[in-house]
Amino acid sequence: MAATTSTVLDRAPEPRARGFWRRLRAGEEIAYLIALSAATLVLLIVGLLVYQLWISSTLSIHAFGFSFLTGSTWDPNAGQFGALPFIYGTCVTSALALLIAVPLGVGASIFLAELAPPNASNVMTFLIELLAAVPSVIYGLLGIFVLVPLIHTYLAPFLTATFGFLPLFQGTFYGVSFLSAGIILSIMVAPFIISVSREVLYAVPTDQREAALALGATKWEATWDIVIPNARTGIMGSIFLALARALGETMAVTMVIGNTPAISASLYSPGYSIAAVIANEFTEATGNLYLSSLIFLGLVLFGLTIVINAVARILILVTQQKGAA
Amino acid sequence: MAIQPPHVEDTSAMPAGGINAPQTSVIPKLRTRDLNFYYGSFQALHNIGIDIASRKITAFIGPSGCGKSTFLRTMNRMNETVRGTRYDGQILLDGEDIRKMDVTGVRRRVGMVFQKSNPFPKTIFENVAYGLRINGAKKATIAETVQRSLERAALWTEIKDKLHKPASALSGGQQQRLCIARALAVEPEVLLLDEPCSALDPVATLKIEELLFQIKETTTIVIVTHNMQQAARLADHTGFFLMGKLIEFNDTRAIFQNPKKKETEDYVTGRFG
Repeated sequence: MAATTSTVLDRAPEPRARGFWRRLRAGEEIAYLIALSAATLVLLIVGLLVYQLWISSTLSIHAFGFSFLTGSTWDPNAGQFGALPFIYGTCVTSALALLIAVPLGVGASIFLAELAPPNASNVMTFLIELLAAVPSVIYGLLGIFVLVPLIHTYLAPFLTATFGFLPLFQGTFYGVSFLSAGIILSIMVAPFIISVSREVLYAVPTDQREAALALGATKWEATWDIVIPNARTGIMGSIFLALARALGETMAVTMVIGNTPAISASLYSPGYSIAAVIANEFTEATGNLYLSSLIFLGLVLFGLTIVINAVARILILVTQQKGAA
Repeated sequence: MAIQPPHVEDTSAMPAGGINAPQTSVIPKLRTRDLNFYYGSFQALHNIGIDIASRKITAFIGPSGCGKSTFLRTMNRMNETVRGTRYDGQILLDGEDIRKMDVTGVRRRVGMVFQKSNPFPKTIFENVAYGLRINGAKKATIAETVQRSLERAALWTEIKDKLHKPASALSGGQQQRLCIARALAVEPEVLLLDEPCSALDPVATLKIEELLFQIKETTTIVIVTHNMQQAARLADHTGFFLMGKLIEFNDTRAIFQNPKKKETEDYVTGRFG
């Protein structure tokens, strides 16, 4: 009995002996601390960002408060600042971009991952990923000189003729508009969706495909019913990435959206986005309230990104397929 | 070198002095003739000729890489999904060349269970129902067929209260039986099993072996195993593969107790290096 106890006592300190210093020497604690500090730094930067935005925009926050979000007048000369037209423009162009880019991007990724011969798929993916590396000012130029004339000649007349009864496609298309901005954004964000979704589809185990095929499923049934549900979370992730880019895109949008702080149901009308107005007016912002309001807009964009992402995530959780692991 | 099987319908095709096999009049369910299979330039199967008896358990044994799994996967044309593969020769299902048949039809008639259990990320019920849905089963019959399939796979009593829970919540052995139920739901005429117990403990293995005995009343079973005891316990007929060749194919008892070829004897007695 005594012997047993003493054995236990002898053994007890052992874990402590192999404690902090020993593990530190083994590199384990160092690796832990490095990783921890990296993670903390990221959080710290985000925190500082919000803090700085908040501090710099207090003047505007005190002046307008919540009505900043609902006001639709943006008149720097009169000292009237309302963010609604910019919030509207950002949301409309991003929604339009996703509406076009998601089916296009997911469809292309299915083709690349499931249907195309591997060599062709690799070449095409390389070219598509190049698209993601093109500077956004180039996309803006492309929009002004190529896309807008094309929309003007072909797409807008077609849309007016076909869906003209909808308020979305009424009025005259002059060129710079929500529609042009949405389409150029969709071209910019599609590569993110394609390249990430393709990797996710590749990561679905072969045995999932084979299990479906072995039951007599066609290639398409196996892809649609089994492979895509397996890859669902990852595909959603790629869409978030695209959304984040669309919400924050500045240069290309500025060049084709028209830079008019107006809310209009028609996609043919010119508008404005949050990022665009900050970029355009920052250098000429005279007066503290003007500057503070622009920074407040930045805070709003930050908040908008968080809210939209949160809503999208909740949507996923709610609609998550029953039975998914 | 077409090894004549234990059961042949036309004895005229049998070479003189063929392998000592019991003469019965059972018609083979599956037969292959001069089957050669290639991964790119590598030939994985050489002239496989075999008759697989209807409603029996046929086992294939052999060392890793001997071609037994490849052979199994040619019989439901699953290898066609792997790029760079080709084969020549014939594979006949009820006397009809499966290459001339619709591929989804072949796979519905020749089901498959894989080495690693691979349930879909769906509920238990939907896993079994999936094959029924894609094959156009009537809605009213699905629930009934799902239950019958789970019963045949000896899983029903364990999971009948959690049909709508995710399949991933099941244990490894249960998942593999779920995969068997899923394959059985579309009522295949042949069930191919590719080392179905290699990841399972002895108890789960035993359960699967028991249910295979039940299933063979209605279904032709072909199983690949690297466990010789399993082949000896389960199979009516056993084939021994080595380096892409079917060395010997005979009654299981004969293979294990009285092998004709030295390679077979070396392998089943464990002298194989």
